[in-house]
Amino acid sequence: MIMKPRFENLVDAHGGRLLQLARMMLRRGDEAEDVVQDILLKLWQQMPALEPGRELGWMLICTRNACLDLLRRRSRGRALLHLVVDGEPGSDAATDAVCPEAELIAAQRARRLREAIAAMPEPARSLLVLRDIQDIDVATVAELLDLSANQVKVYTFRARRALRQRLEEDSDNERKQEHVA
Amino acid sequence: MNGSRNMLPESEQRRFDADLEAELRVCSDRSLDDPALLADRLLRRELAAMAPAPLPARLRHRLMRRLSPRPVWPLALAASALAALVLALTLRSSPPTPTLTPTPTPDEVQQLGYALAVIGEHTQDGIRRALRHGENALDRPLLEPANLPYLDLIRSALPGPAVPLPNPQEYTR
Repeated sequence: MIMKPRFENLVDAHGGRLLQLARMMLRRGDEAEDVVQDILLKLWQQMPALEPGRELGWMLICTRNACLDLLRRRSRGRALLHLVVDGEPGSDAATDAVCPEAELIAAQRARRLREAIAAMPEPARSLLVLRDIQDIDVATVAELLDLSANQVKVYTFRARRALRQRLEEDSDNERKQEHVA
Repeated sequence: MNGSRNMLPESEQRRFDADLEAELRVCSDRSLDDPALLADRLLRRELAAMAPAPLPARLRHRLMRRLSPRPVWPLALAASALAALVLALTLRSSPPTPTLTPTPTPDEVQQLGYALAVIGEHTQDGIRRALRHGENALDRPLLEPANLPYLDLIRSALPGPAVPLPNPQEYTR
Protein backbone atom coordinates (compact mmCIF):
# COMPACT_ATOMS: atom_id res chain seq x y z
CA MET A 1 0.00 0.00 0.00
CA ILE A 2 1.64 3.26 -1.17
CA MET A 3 -0.62 5.62 0.75
CA LYS A 4 0.84 4.97 4.16
CA PRO A 5 4.51 5.83 3.42
CA ARG A 6 3.36 9.03 1.72
CA PHE A 7 1.19 9.88 4.68
CA GLU A 8 3.98 9.19 7.16
CA ASN A 9 6.34 11.40 5.19
CA LEU A 10 3.83 14.23 5.30
CA VAL A 11 3.25 13.79 9.02
CA ASP A 12 6.97 13.81 9.74
CA ALA A 13 7.68 16.75 7.44
CA HIS A 14 4.80 19.02 8.38
CA GLY A 15 3.17 17.75 11.58
CA GLY A 16 5.39 19.97 13.73
CA ARG A 17 4.51 23.04 11.64
CA LEU A 18 0.81 22.41 12.05
CA LEU A 19 1.17 21.94 15.78
CA GLN A 20 3.19 25.12 16.14
CA LEU A 21 0.64 27.11 14.15
CA ALA A 22 -2.21 25.70 16.21
CA ARG A 23 -0.39 26.39 19.47
CA MET A 24 0.36 29.94 18.45
CA MET A 25 -3.24 30.52 17.54
CA LEU A 26 -4.96 28.70 20.37
CA ARG A 27 -2.42 29.14 23.18
CA ARG A 28 -3.48 25.77 24.54
CA GLY A 29 -1.41 22.71 23.89
CA ASP A 30 -4.16 20.13 24.39
CA GLU A 31 -6.57 21.84 22.01
CA ALA A 32 -3.79 22.34 19.49
CA GLU A 33 -2.94 18.65 19.54
CA ASP A 34 -6.58 17.70 19.05
CA VAL A 35 -6.86 20.04 16.08
CA VAL A 36 -3.70 18.68 14.47
CA GLN A 37 -4.78 15.10 15.01
CA ASP A 38 -8.14 15.80 13.38
CA ILE A 39 -6.48 17.52 10.43
CA LEU A 40 -4.06 14.67 9.89
CA LEU A 41 -6.85 12.11 10.05
CA LYS A 42 -8.73 14.19 7.51
CA LEU A 43 -5.60 14.28 5.38
CA TRP A 44 -5.50 10.48 5.44
CA GLN A 45 -9.06 10.35 4.15
CA GLN A 46 -8.60 13.06 1.53
CA MET A 47 -5.14 12.06 0.35
CA PRO A 48 -6.23 10.08 -2.73
CA ALA A 49 -7.92 13.21 -4.04
CA LEU A 50 -5.07 15.58 -3.13
CA GLU A 51 -2.56 16.50 -5.78
CA PRO A 52 0.97 15.62 -4.63
CA GLY A 53 2.85 18.75 -3.63
CA ARG A 54 -0.24 20.63 -2.57
CA GLU A 55 -0.74 18.85 0.73
CA LEU A 56 1.03 21.45 2.87
CA GLY A 57 -1.18 24.28 1.67
CA TRP A 58 -4.25 22.15 2.22
CA MET A 59 -3.17 21.19 5.74
CA LEU A 60 -2.33 24.78 6.67
CA ILE A 61 -5.69 26.04 5.43
CA CYS A 62 -7.52 23.32 7.39
CA THR A 63 -5.49 23.92 10.54
CA ARG A 64 -5.92 27.67 10.44
CA ASN A 65 -9.66 27.42 9.76
CA ALA A 66 -10.11 24.88 12.54
CA CYS A 67 -8.25 27.16 14.96
CA LEU A 68 -10.26 30.19 13.91
CA ASP A 69 -13.48 28.22 14.43
CA LEU A 70 -12.32 27.21 17.88
CA LEU A 71 -11.35 30.77 18.73
CA ARG A 72 -14.73 32.04 17.59
CA ARG A 73 -16.51 29.45 19.70
CA ARG A 74 -14.26 30.18 22.62
CA SER A 75 -14.82 33.94 22.41
CA ARG A 76 -18.58 33.39 22.22
CA GLY A 77 -18.54 31.02 25.17
CA ARG A 78 -16.15 32.95 27.35
CA ALA A 79 -16.83 36.49 26.38
CA LEU A 80 -16.33 37.72 29.94
CA LEU A 81 -13.55 35.39 30.88
CA HIS A 82 -10.13 36.87 30.61
CA LEU A 83 -7.87 34.29 29.12
CA VAL A 84 -4.65 34.09 31.03
CA VAL A 85 -1.78 33.21 28.78
CA ASP A 86 -0.28 30.02 29.99
CA GLY A 87 3.02 29.38 28.31
CA GLU A 88 3.42 25.82 29.51
CA PRO A 89 0.91 23.93 27.42
CA GLY A 90 1.51 26.02 24.35
CA SER A 91 5.25 25.97 24.50
CA ASP A 92 7.42 23.94 22.21
CA ALA A 93 9.05 20.86 23.59
CA ALA A 94 12.49 22.38 23.11
CA THR A 95 11.83 25.09 25.67
CA ASP A 96 9.88 23.02 28.16
CA ALA A 97 12.88 21.46 29.78
CA VAL A 98 14.59 23.03 32.76
CA CYS A 99 17.47 25.04 31.32
CA PRO A 100 20.74 26.39 32.61
CA GLU A 101 20.74 30.15 33.25
CA ALA A 102 21.75 31.24 29.76
CA GLU A 103 19.22 28.96 28.17
CA LEU A 104 16.63 30.11 30.66
CA ILE A 105 16.96 33.68 29.43
CA ALA A 106 16.57 32.49 25.84
CA ALA A 107 13.59 30.39 26.82
CA GLN A 108 11.97 33.38 28.54
CA ARG A 109 12.53 35.48 25.46
CA ALA A 110 11.04 32.77 23.25
CA ARG A 111 8.05 32.51 25.53
CA ARG A 112 7.55 36.26 25.43
CA LEU A 113 7.72 36.15 21.65
CA ARG A 114 5.17 33.37 21.49
CA GLU A 115 2.81 35.22 23.76
CA ALA A 116 3.18 38.41 21.78
CA ILE A 117 2.57 36.60 18.50
CA ALA A 118 -0.42 34.79 19.95
CA ALA A 119 -1.89 38.14 20.93
CA MET A 120 -1.60 39.54 17.40
CA PRO A 121 -4.73 39.85 15.27
CA GLU A 122 -5.27 37.82 12.15
CA PRO A 123 -3.83 37.62 9.53
CA ALA A 124 -0.72 39.16 11.13
CA ARG A 125 -0.32 36.19 13.48
CA SER A 126 -0.56 33.62 10.70
CA LEU A 127 1.83 35.60 8.53
CA LEU A 128 4.47 35.74 11.24
CA VAL A 129 4.16 32.04 11.99
CA LEU A 130 4.08 30.87 8.40
CA ARG A 131 6.53 33.27 6.78
CA ASP A 132 9.03 34.21 9.47
CA ILE A 133 9.02 31.18 11.75
CA GLN A 134 8.23 28.36 9.36
CA ASP A 135 9.64 29.95 6.18
CA ILE A 136 6.78 28.76 4.00
CA ASP A 137 6.97 30.17 0.50
CA VAL A 138 5.06 33.29 -0.46
CA ALA A 139 2.87 31.57 -3.04
CA THR A 140 1.57 28.97 -0.57
CA VAL A 141 0.87 31.57 2.09
CA ALA A 142 -0.80 33.85 -0.47
CA GLU A 143 -3.10 31.02 -1.50
CA LEU A 144 -3.78 30.10 2.09
CA LEU A 145 -4.73 33.63 3.13
CA ASP A 146 -6.31 34.62 -0.15
CA LEU A 147 -3.86 37.45 -0.72
CA SER A 148 -1.56 38.51 -3.52
CA ALA A 149 2.16 37.77 -3.23
CA ASN A 150 2.98 41.44 -2.63
CA GLN A 151 0.27 41.71 -0.01
CA VAL A 152 1.85 38.78 1.82
CA LYS A 153 5.21 40.55 1.82
CA VAL A 154 3.85 43.92 2.88
CA TYR A 155 1.54 42.56 5.57
CA THR A 156 4.34 40.39 6.93
CA PHE A 157 6.58 43.43 7.14
CA ARG A 158 3.88 45.37 8.99
CA ALA A 159 3.10 42.48 11.31
CA ARG A 160 6.76 42.05 12.22
CA ARG A 161 7.17 45.72 12.88
CA ALA A 162 4.04 45.77 15.05
CA LEU A 163 5.41 42.79 16.97
CA ARG A 164 8.74 44.50 17.49
CA GLN A 165 7.08 47.66 18.75
CA ARG A 166 4.95 45.63 21.12
CA LEU A 167 7.97 43.79 22.51
CA GLU A 168 9.82 47.10 22.98
CA GLU A 169 6.83 48.56 24.80
CA ASP A 170 6.62 45.52 27.05
CA SER A 171 10.29 45.71 28.01
CA ASP A 172 9.98 49.48 28.59
CA ASN A 173 7.07 48.83 30.94
CA GLU A 174 9.03 46.14 32.78
CA ARG A 175 11.98 48.46 33.19
CA LYS A 176 9.71 51.18 34.57
CA GLN A 177 8.14 48.73 37.03
CA GLU A 178 11.56 47.55 38.21
CA HIS A 179 12.60 51.19 38.63
CA VAL A 180 9.51 51.93 40.73
CA ALA A 181 10.07 48.83 42.84
CA MET B 1 4.09 48.49 -9.14
CA ASN B 2 0.73 47.51 -7.81
CA GLY B 3 0.67 44.09 -6.25
CA SER B 4 -2.37 44.70 -4.10
CA ARG B 5 -5.59 43.18 -5.32
CA ASN B 6 -7.80 46.19 -4.88
CA MET B 7 -7.19 49.67 -6.12
CA LEU B 8 -5.83 51.76 -3.23
CA PRO B 9 -5.93 55.51 -2.71
CA GLU B 10 -2.71 57.14 -3.88
CA SER B 11 -1.29 57.75 -0.42
CA GLU B 12 -2.06 54.23 0.65
CA GLN B 13 -0.48 52.91 -2.51
CA ARG B 14 2.70 54.87 -1.83
CA ARG B 15 2.85 53.44 1.67
CA PHE B 16 2.23 49.95 0.30
CA ASP B 17 5.09 50.31 -2.16
CA ALA B 18 7.43 51.67 0.50
CA ASP B 19 6.65 48.79 2.84
CA LEU B 20 7.17 46.31 0.04
CA GLU B 21 10.56 47.83 -0.72
CA ALA B 22 11.45 47.71 2.99
CA GLU B 23 10.45 44.05 3.25
CA LEU B 24 12.60 43.15 0.27
CA ARG B 25 15.57 44.90 1.90
CA VAL B 26 14.95 43.19 5.24
CA CYS B 27 14.83 39.78 3.57
CA SER B 28 17.89 40.40 1.41
CA ASP B 29 21.51 39.96 2.41
CA ARG B 30 22.33 43.60 1.70
CA SER B 31 23.73 45.66 4.57
CA LEU B 32 21.27 48.01 6.18
CA ASP B 33 22.00 51.45 7.51
CA ASP B 34 18.48 52.15 8.74
CA PRO B 35 18.37 51.06 12.43
CA ALA B 36 14.65 50.29 12.26
CA LEU B 37 15.12 47.94 9.33
CA LEU B 38 18.12 46.41 11.04
CA ALA B 39 15.99 45.72 14.11
CA ASP B 40 13.33 44.20 11.86
CA ARG B 41 15.93 41.91 10.32
CA LEU B 42 17.17 40.82 13.75
CA LEU B 43 13.66 40.02 14.87
CA ARG B 44 13.10 38.06 11.68
CA ARG B 45 16.21 36.00 12.40
CA GLU B 46 15.05 35.46 15.95
CA LEU B 47 11.70 34.24 14.72
CA ALA B 48 13.38 31.93 12.21
CA ALA B 49 15.22 30.31 15.11
CA MET B 50 11.86 29.27 16.56
CA ALA B 51 11.51 26.59 13.90
CA PRO B 52 8.90 24.00 14.83
CA ALA B 53 9.87 20.91 16.73
CA PRO B 54 8.81 17.65 15.09
CA LEU B 55 5.45 16.25 15.99
CA PRO B 56 5.68 14.71 19.49
CA ALA B 57 6.14 10.95 19.35
CA ARG B 58 3.15 10.50 21.65
CA LEU B 59 0.84 12.35 19.25
CA ARG B 60 2.30 10.58 16.23
CA HIS B 61 1.79 7.20 17.84
CA ARG B 62 -1.81 8.08 18.75
CA LEU B 63 -2.46 9.15 15.19
CA MET B 64 -0.99 6.03 13.60
CA ARG B 65 -2.93 3.83 15.99
CA ARG B 66 -6.16 5.45 14.88
CA LEU B 67 -5.27 4.90 11.24
CA SER B 68 -4.53 1.21 11.33
CA PRO B 69 -7.66 -0.93 11.32
CA ARG B 70 -8.18 -2.88 14.49
CA PRO B 71 -6.91 -6.46 14.15
CA VAL B 72 -9.68 -9.01 13.91
CA TRP B 73 -7.87 -11.91 15.53
CA PRO B 74 -8.42 -10.83 19.18
CA LEU B 75 -12.15 -10.61 18.50
CA ALA B 76 -12.18 -14.00 16.80
CA LEU B 77 -10.19 -15.48 19.67
CA ALA B 78 -12.58 -14.04 22.24
CA ALA B 79 -15.61 -15.27 20.29
CA SER B 80 -14.26 -18.81 20.01
CA ALA B 81 -13.35 -18.88 23.70
CA LEU B 82 -16.84 -17.74 24.58
CA ALA B 83 -18.41 -20.35 22.32
CA ALA B 84 -16.27 -23.07 23.91
CA LEU B 85 -17.29 -21.93 27.37
CA VAL B 86 -20.99 -21.93 26.49
CA LEU B 87 -20.70 -25.37 24.96
CA ALA B 88 -18.92 -26.76 28.02
CA LEU B 89 -21.52 -25.32 30.39
CA THR B 90 -24.37 -26.67 28.28
CA LEU B 91 -22.92 -30.15 28.17
CA ARG B 92 -22.28 -30.16 31.89
CA SER B 93 -25.81 -29.04 32.77
CA SER B 94 -27.64 -31.51 30.47
CA PRO B 95 -28.72 -34.88 32.03
CA PRO B 96 -26.33 -37.72 31.36
CA THR B 97 -27.40 -39.83 28.47
CA PRO B 98 -27.62 -43.54 29.23
CA THR B 99 -25.02 -45.63 27.61
CA LEU B 100 -26.54 -48.10 25.23
CA THR B 101 -24.88 -51.39 24.99
CA PRO B 102 -25.37 -53.06 21.63
CA THR B 103 -26.14 -56.45 23.18
CA PRO B 104 -27.98 -56.50 26.48
CA THR B 105 -26.75 -58.88 29.11
CA PRO B 106 -29.02 -61.73 30.18
CA ASP B 107 -29.59 -59.96 33.48
CA GLU B 108 -30.76 -56.80 31.66
CA VAL B 109 -33.03 -58.85 29.43
CA GLN B 110 -34.47 -60.52 32.47
CA GLN B 111 -35.17 -57.18 34.16
CA LEU B 112 -36.68 -55.78 30.99
CA GLY B 113 -38.83 -58.85 30.58
CA TYR B 114 -40.05 -58.54 34.13
CA ALA B 115 -40.94 -54.90 33.61
CA LEU B 116 -42.84 -55.66 30.43
CA ALA B 117 -44.62 -58.61 32.03
CA VAL B 118 -45.72 -56.43 34.91
CA ILE B 119 -46.95 -53.78 32.52
CA GLY B 120 -48.70 -56.38 30.38
CA GLU B 121 -50.32 -58.02 33.40
CA HIS B 122 -51.60 -54.71 34.71
CA THR B 123 -52.79 -53.62 31.32
CA GLN B 124 -54.71 -56.85 30.76
CA ASP B 125 -56.15 -56.54 34.20
CA GLY B 126 -57.24 -52.97 33.48
CA ILE B 127 -58.84 -53.97 30.19
CA ARG B 128 -60.70 -56.86 31.81
CA ARG B 129 -61.99 -54.53 34.49
CA ALA B 130 -63.04 -51.94 31.92
CA LEU B 131 -64.82 -54.57 29.86
CA ARG B 132 -66.61 -55.88 32.87
CA HIS B 133 -67.84 -52.44 33.85
CA GLY B 134 -68.53 -51.08 30.37
CA GLU B 135 -69.73 -54.26 28.68
CA ASN B 136 -73.19 -52.92 28.10
CA ALA B 137 -72.14 -49.52 26.87
CA LEU B 138 -69.12 -50.28 24.68
CA ASP B 139 -68.51 -52.42 21.65
CA ARG B 140 -66.43 -55.45 22.26
CA PRO B 141 -62.80 -54.74 21.39
CA LEU B 142 -61.29 -56.56 18.47
CA LEU B 143 -58.34 -57.83 20.47
CA GLU B 144 -58.75 -60.36 23.19
CA PRO B 145 -56.72 -59.40 26.28
CA ALA B 146 -54.84 -62.64 26.07
CA ASN B 147 -53.70 -61.96 22.48
CA LEU B 148 -52.03 -58.59 22.92
CA PRO B 149 -49.21 -58.58 20.36
CA TYR B 150 -46.50 -56.50 21.87
CA LEU B 151 -45.02 -59.12 24.16
CA ASP B 152 -44.26 -61.38 21.21
CA LEU B 153 -42.95 -58.47 19.16
CA ILE B 154 -40.57 -57.43 21.88
CA ARG B 155 -39.51 -60.99 22.37
CA SER B 156 -38.72 -61.34 18.67
CA ALA B 157 -36.79 -58.04 18.61
CA LEU B 158 -34.39 -59.10 21.30
CA PRO B 159 -31.09 -60.36 19.83
CA GLY B 160 -29.50 -63.66 20.43
CA PRO B 161 -31.11 -66.87 21.52
CA ALA B 162 -34.57 -66.48 22.81
CA VAL B 163 -34.51 -65.76 26.46
CA PRO B 164 -37.59 -66.98 28.26
CA LEU B 165 -39.48 -64.12 29.79
CA PRO B 166 -40.03 -64.67 33.42
CA ASN B 167 -43.36 -65.07 34.96
CA PRO B 168 -44.11 -61.94 36.94
CA GLN B 169 -45.69 -64.05 39.60
CA GLU B 170 -42.25 -65.44 40.44
CA TYR B 171 -41.06 -62.02 41.64
CA THR B 172 -42.04 -60.61 44.92
CA ARG B 173 -42.21 -56.91 45.41
